[in-house]
Order: sequence, then C-alpha cells, then structure tokens
Amino acid sequence: MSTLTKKEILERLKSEAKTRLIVTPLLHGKQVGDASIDVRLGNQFILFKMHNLETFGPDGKNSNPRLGQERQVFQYGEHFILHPGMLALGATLEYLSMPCDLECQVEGRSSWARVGLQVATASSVEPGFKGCVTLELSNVGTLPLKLYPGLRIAQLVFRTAHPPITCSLDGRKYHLSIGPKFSSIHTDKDSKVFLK
Amino acid sequence: MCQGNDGKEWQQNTLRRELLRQASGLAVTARKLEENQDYPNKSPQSLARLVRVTAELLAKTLEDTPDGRLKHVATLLCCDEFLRIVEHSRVSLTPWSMIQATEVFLRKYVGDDAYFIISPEWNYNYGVRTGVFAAFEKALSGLEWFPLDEWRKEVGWGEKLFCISFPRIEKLNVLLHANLGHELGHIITQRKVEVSFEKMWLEKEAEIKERLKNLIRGDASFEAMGDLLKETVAEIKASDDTEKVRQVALQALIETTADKVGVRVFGPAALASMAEICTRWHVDINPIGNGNYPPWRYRLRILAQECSRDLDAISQNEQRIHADIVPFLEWLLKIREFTSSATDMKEIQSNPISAEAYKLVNQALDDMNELVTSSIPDEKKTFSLVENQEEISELIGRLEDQVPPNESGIWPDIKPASLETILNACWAYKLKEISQDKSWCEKNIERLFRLCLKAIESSYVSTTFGPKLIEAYLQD
Repeated sequence: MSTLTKKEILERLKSEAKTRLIVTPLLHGKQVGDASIDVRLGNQFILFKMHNLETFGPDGKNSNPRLGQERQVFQYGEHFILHPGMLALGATLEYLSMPCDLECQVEGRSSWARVGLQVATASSVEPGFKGCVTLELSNVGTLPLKLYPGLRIAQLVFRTAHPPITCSLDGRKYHLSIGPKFSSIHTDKDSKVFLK
Repeated sequence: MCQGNDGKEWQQNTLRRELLRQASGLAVTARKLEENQDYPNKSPQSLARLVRVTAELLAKTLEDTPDGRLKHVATLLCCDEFLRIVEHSRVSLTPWSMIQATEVFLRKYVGDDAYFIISPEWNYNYGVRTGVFAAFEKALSGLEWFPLDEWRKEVGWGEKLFCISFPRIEKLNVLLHANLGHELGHIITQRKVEVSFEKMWLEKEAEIKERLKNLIRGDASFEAMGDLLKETVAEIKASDDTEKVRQVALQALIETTADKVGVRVFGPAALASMAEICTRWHVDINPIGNGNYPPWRYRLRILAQECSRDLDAISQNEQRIHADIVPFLEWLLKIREFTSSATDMKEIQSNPISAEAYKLVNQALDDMNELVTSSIPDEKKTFSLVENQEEISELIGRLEDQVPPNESGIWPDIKPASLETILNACWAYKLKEISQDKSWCEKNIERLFRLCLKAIESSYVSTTFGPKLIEAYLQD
C-alpha cells in the first residue's frame, strides 16, 4: 500500500472509467497537492440539541441520534460558528466516487488544526465508496471558529489497496450520502450481544 | 344598563384593546420567525420582517387610528397568513439544496432584484403569489395616519418578491419541480398577456356577444316569451355569457403562455412533469367546470408541439439518436399520441361559451408565441434533448455510476451542466431504467432524487464560485 503522489492522483482523475477517481466538483487544480486533494466544506450540518436527550447509546429509546441532533443548512456566503468544545457534523462539498483499488484517509489541514479545528476522527474511506464524506468537526481550541461553506477544510490522502477489493456496496451504512449523515450505530446488530 | 351611542363606544374600546394585543402578538411571532436561521435563503426572513414591521407600526399608531377605521386595521392584521409561507419555507420542508440554484436560475429571467420563497403547500399543485409587497403598500397607503415612509425604510426591499409553492409531499421529487418553469411563466408573462388580451377583446367583444345572442334567441325555451321580453332576456344572458367567454379565454391564454415559457426553458422535462402530474385528474374537463383552466390534454398538446423538434427526430428516424435518450423520447411520443385524441376539443365545443372562448384563444396563439419569445429572448427555441444528446448521455452515464450529473467531461476539461440539462438527463435516465424494469421506481427513485439535488447544488457552486476562484488564484 503506497500513498498516491500528485502525478498519480492527476492520472487517476483522468483515467479510464474502472480506475477513475471522481471528486466532484473539483473547483480548482490547486486543490491537488503533492500527495493529497484538498476538499471543501459543504453547507449542510448536523448539530446537537442536548436538551431532550439524557444520554446516547446503542440501546433502547435513546439510540436514535435524530432525537438529539438536527440538520441545518447555511447558504454559500454565510458562516457557521463552531464554539470551543462543540462537535458538529459537516460534509465535504465534493462527492467522491472511489475506484475499487483505492482507499483514502481524511485528514485535517494543518492551518485549521493550528487554531483548534479537528475535522475527522473516523477518517477512513473505503474502496468503492460513493458519496460526500461526513466530517466530525470539533473545536478543541479556545476561540470560536467561523466556518464558511466552500472553504478548504480537509485533505484526502489516497493509497492503493492491493489486490483491489470486490466493490459490493450492499449494506454500507453511509453510502450515497449527499450531506452529513446521522449516526447509524443503533443498526449495529452485534452490539445487542453486549447489552443487558 | 345605559351605554350611550348604542354601545358603540364599548365596542370601539374593546376592539382597540384587542387590536393592540393582536398586533403585538403578531409582531412577536413574526420576529421569532425572522430570527430563525433555518431557511435555505434570505427571502423568508424578509417576508417575516415585512409582516413584523407592519404589525409594529399598526400597533404604534393605533392611538391615532379613528374609531371608524379600526376595522381596516383588523383586516390588515390578517396578514398573519403570510407567516405560514415563512414557516413552511424552513429547510426541513423544502428541497433546500436546489433553492439557491433555482433562485439564480429564475433571476436570469425575472431580474437580479427579484427574491423568491419556495415553500410547500398541502394541495397537490404548484402555484405562485406575486405582488406581495405592492399589496401591502397599497393597503397601508389608504391609512392616512400610517407612517408609510418609515414602513418603507424599515422593510427595505421587496417590490419583486415571489412566493412559489410546490406539493408538500413531493419535496424531494426534483424531477417534478420542472413545473416551476410554468410558475416562472406566470411571473414574466401574465401581466403582458392580460394587456394584450384586453386589446384583442375590445375588437372582438361585440361580435362574440352578437353570436351568443343569436344562439339565445334561437333557444326553444324562449318561444313562449313576448318579443320585448325575449330581447331583454337575451341581452342580459348574452352579456353574462360574453363575460364568461372573456374569463375562460383569458385564463386559457394565461395558463398556456406560462406553459410555453416552462417548456421553452426546461424542454421535454416540462412536458414530462406536466404529463406525470395530470394523469391523476380528468384530462378533458370543460374549463367552465374547472375554474376556467384549460383541459390538461389541451395543455399537453401545446407542450408537445413545442417539443416537436425532438419528437419528430425520433418519430421520423431522421438522425442518429443516442440509445440512452430513446426510451424517454418514446415515452414523450406516447404523450403526443395521447393528445392526438380530440376529446378535449369536443368537450370545449359542446358548450357555446367555451367554444367561443377557444376560438379566440386559437386566434391569439401566434401573438402569445411572440410574447413568450420577447419575454425570454435568450431561449428563442425550446431546450432540445436531441441537440444536447451527447452531454445528456454523458450525464446519464454518471447517474448509472451513482455519481451526481453535475458536469460533463473529464477533469480538468469539465463543463458544469445547466439546471435544464440536469433535469432532462435525470428524466431520460428514469425512463431508461423504467423501460428495463417496470418496478425500478419503487426501489431507486429516492436515490435519483438525491443525486439530482446534489448535481444542482454542485453545478451552482461551480458556476458561481469557480470563476471567482480562478481569478483569486491568478491574483496570487
């Protein structure tokens, strides 16, 4: 498994359908870095409303995240404020279509990390994935952060998966999303084994 | 108990107190909606501000309101119904990802100073409300104590505010939203149609009335009447019927002209979406029994005529047509076949009023075509599937790969797809899939809606911000 360089990424963006990497809309060529692609923040967020949920867990009545979260949309041109200690789900503006022989890691940009923004904790995108990538945005700094939809917020680092996997998309939880997705932890069948 | 003035003083005092409470309550409710951030664009907040400022100033000036005018204030406070539009335009109730893109698209035709609220209604219908600001201004200008200048200053804008509605349960059915083109037609042509029609009506009214009068005179039920009575009754009935002819003809021209605008800008997608929506109703109903609206079959026929370049291309097998769009074109051809039956015209001819009205409509159609062309000079021809088949086929390929159809080409040589191209590609893809699997919609239609919505959003971002980014990087 090796990290794709700029030249390899550019080749993948233009290659034949089977091995083509689609990142759309890729607004400017400068988003492609030496070994990554910068991706932009979409305008849809899932925010917490903690007042009507005591706890969250995979069991019983509190397992549906929609009870404690709500979806909000900000126009392009407007901003969203992420306060210290706050977690919000955003998504990449770009829709990804991964070929079956590539996986990628979602990483923060150091410029944002220096002011306290973390963008992804569950950061692996599997081969064959199609959709916008949900970003777990958290502010671990001390100043509120103004985030504008469209800003370059994260980077994707691609690696080859060898040999290529069979791209079966059935049963994937977050497939074909066009914005951030609510947690589907309550659909984990195996967690029931451990619940009293 | 003596109240003097027949209790009027008591009534006015009570009304004044209640109006103050109602206006204050309305202002508070409007402010809450104005402060809400949960809208896909700024227009709903502006409408809330319009209601809030109106309520606040009516409350503030209530002391100066003469007793005899309190009822007018009460009527004006019924403007709370506009808050329903604001409330319904929240993100959770609208296809939010297409709102900004649709607003930009509509402004291309209506002007950069136009604002739109797109919200659901519970009727299974599309609609548009125009002139909201002007209606407020006109009503308030009749209140001589009302500070109209202060109101204008605080409200700030709004001459061109349009509230467009779509069927609530079809929020995600973005393909059906090609019907918004018809509402655009109302916005840009309705007034012109009315003016043009009135001119024509002045020329034709007398002869229409005379023909109707002759018909009435020949009615067997008139036989028993004396000549003078017969003539008086014929005159009264002919006047009523002539007015009905005017109403039926005007409504037909307003609707068909709006239809023509819709199909001109969205092409076959407009025909398809109207065909889908009207299958649930009686398509030949006489306008007189249907709020003066033209029969659906009549409207479909006009739309199919506008799409004749595409339909002739497939029916006459004149040019190579990409296999991807053939199922859609074949489905559209069936719509044209459906309109070849003249059952709607028989229904229209069965009543002398509708028969006269549609005689007039047919005479005016050429003028209306010119009016449509002059209203949207950039779209002299209807958007054509066949002319854009390479791009549409490529977009269908993206849909088959479960990728939004927002652009064609291979990066970096890409071209963002226009709203009308995206909608037509999605329609063509849908019909292609249905032609292979009749039950396709049941499992897959929501996925198509999502991809279409994302495509519209992405294309909007590319066309709006892409050129600015290039400029910004060049300056670096």
